[in-house]
Amino acid sequence: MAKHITSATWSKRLSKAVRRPVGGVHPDDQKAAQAVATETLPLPAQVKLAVTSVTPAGCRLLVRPGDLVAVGQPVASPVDLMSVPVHASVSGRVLSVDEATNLNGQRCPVVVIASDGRQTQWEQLQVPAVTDFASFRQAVRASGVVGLGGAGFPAFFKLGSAPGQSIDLLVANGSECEPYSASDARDMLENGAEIIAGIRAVLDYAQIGQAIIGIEGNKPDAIRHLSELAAADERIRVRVLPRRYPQGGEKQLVYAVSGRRIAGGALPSAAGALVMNVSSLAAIAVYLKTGQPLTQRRITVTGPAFDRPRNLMVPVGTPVSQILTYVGGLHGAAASLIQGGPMMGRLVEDYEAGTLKQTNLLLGLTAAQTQKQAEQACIRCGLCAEVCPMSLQPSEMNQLVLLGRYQEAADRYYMKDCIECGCCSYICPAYRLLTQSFVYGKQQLKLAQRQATQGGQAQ
Amino acid sequence: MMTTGIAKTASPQIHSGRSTTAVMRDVLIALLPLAAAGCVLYGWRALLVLVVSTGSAVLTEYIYEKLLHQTVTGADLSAAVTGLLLGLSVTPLLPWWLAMLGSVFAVLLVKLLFGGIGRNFMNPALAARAFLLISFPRQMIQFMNPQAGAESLDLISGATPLPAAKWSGTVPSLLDSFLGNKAGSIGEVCILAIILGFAYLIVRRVIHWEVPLIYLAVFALFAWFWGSDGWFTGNVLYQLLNGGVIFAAVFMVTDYTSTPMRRSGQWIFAAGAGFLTILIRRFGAYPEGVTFAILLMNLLTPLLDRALVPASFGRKKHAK
Repeated sequence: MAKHITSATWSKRLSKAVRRPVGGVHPDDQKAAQAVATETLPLPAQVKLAVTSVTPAGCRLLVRPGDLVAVGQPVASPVDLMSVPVHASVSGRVLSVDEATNLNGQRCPVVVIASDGRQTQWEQLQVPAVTDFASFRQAVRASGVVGLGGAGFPAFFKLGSAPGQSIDLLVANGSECEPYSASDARDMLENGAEIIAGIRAVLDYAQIGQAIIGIEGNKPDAIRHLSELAAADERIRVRVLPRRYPQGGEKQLVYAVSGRRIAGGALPSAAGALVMNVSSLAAIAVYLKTGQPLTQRRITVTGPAFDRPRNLMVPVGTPVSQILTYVGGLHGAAASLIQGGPMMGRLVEDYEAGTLKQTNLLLGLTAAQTQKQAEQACIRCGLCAEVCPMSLQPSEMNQLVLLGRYQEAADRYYMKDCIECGCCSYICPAYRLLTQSFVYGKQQLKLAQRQATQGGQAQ
Repeated sequence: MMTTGIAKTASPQIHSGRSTTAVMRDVLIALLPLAAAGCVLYGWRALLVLVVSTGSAVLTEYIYEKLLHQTVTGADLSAAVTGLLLGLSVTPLLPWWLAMLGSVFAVLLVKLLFGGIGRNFMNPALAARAFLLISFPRQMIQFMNPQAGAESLDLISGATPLPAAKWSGTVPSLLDSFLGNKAGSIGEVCILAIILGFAYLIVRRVIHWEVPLIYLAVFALFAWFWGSDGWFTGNVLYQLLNGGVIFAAVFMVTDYTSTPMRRSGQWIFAAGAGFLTILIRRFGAYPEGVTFAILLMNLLTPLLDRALVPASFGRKKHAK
């Protein structure tokens, strides 16, 4: 598709109008945390750094138990083509590097560091020498920055392998469409200059002509602030997006600001776009300026199960329990803690696990909010298909998954295009576990595929 | 069913809060003005039919589920909707035992035996009405003129405006047709009440506004084509305001279960039903075509659902 569409035609198609979203739902915003200034969490006694990698065992551990480390020192470095290094977020002694379950429920090596309380900076930290695209890409990788909006995809890998070829539009994602979430909104207010600097760096080194910052209309302060900052550079514009979930999904965002449609399974680059979270861009700018890699981030701690909303600057790997203790714990019996927003977030099972780089929100929901009704029969109202931002047919897909006909669900109804945003399950009047069944169905398809390839190799 | 691997605790963690019960409650509320108008116009006879049809529909479902040790689903209110729809679509003179029989037919044969809510391939209320119309034609076409005062046999007339127009020619005024001051089915005569119900369903986003309008537009177009004095002489307003067209447009053509799930399919469904309705009215043996037109289109619903699957976002067309 991208073959015959040049950058020039794409640019012509860019209009001032923001496209109306396809599907989507309108849960209550609950953005009280946006108005709360960021405070710094007292230094935790220890941090647990999950060494996750894109490919299995894509990172090599650089430390052993007993080693002394300083802030910013890499404790793991990538050996594959996609992963990024992990840096110590406190200074102190490495206690263990054993495999454990991280906050996302994945098994991976976890580097546990006991803090010495001094936060000594690593003496080898230095401002990276960036002269061209290759060195820029290398610097972004060395910064350890991943998608800080929650996806956690390595930022450097999105830049592609060569500058100025197919990508002509950078979209800075400041939509933050999940209810309750506010860390990006705070970043736009508190680190606006860094965000603009990050955008300019990407535009310069990746030779991209223009950038659009997409912000949902429920963040007027951020819109005003970034519009003022962006005025100095005519390549950068701010677009106000409709308040609708999942406006911040990369396909939905690119469509809204440019009208380009990215099909399921395709990357934004297929439509000439590069999507980066605003906080990720700021983190890149900080690394380029100071050489300080990503070792801390802002986490919004909010929800009805907490006494008040907070934004905390937290070292990466801080145990969740540490944060809970600081904010006074969850209130109410059977309140549950969600990592991420209420639409796509995960239930936190282990409060001792350390936060991840992409952890942007710790949400305390009351038992009444998270109580799941029993599934009822589908009444064929069609709402699920109406709210699906990918124009899928959740009702039919759900039936096929329940019958074990996963391949048919994928072939006839494009189940693999599901972005798992949760809109269908949110709206279903029969409380059907729609999104959940597609997650399961896609897992089964992957499993079947893996078995098929392994079977083929055996023969 | 293979549901073991589907994680109940997985996201999304929140729900819109709008349940099947809430949707059905909205439909019941939208039907209230119709029921009230029917009772005002036709008195206790109408009330009796509505109470019996609604009550026996709910009771049938309850007894069936109790006997088969199934979950009792009466709380979803769908049986009540079916019973009330049936009661509203029949004559106030219908004997109570026929109202009961119709509801048992609708709920037991059309809905429960096919798997309960969401599984019936036909609109249960319409299917029951067709069943009564075929099996008990004499009782089904006895109508009465509206009367707020005392009852006498004089008030009972044998014909509604539609057959009257088809065979003899005396018809009520348009205003009487609009307000329901005429002989007819309990819920179908007062157009004003139906419009109130329609407005409520739109405000509550239970139905899409364009589906009833497409049905009525196609119906009106062909009603105009096939006039009694040759081509393009049809009395469209008269055809619209009499019989069950507007009632069916709002409450039957928009039924979730027996009509297509996607908008494109719903439009085709509505257009087809509108065409068939006037076709039967104009050329069929029955004075009213609504019931069989919609039931016929109900049979096409699985086909429409299967045929009109849009490509997913960003894809050109469907692969298979």
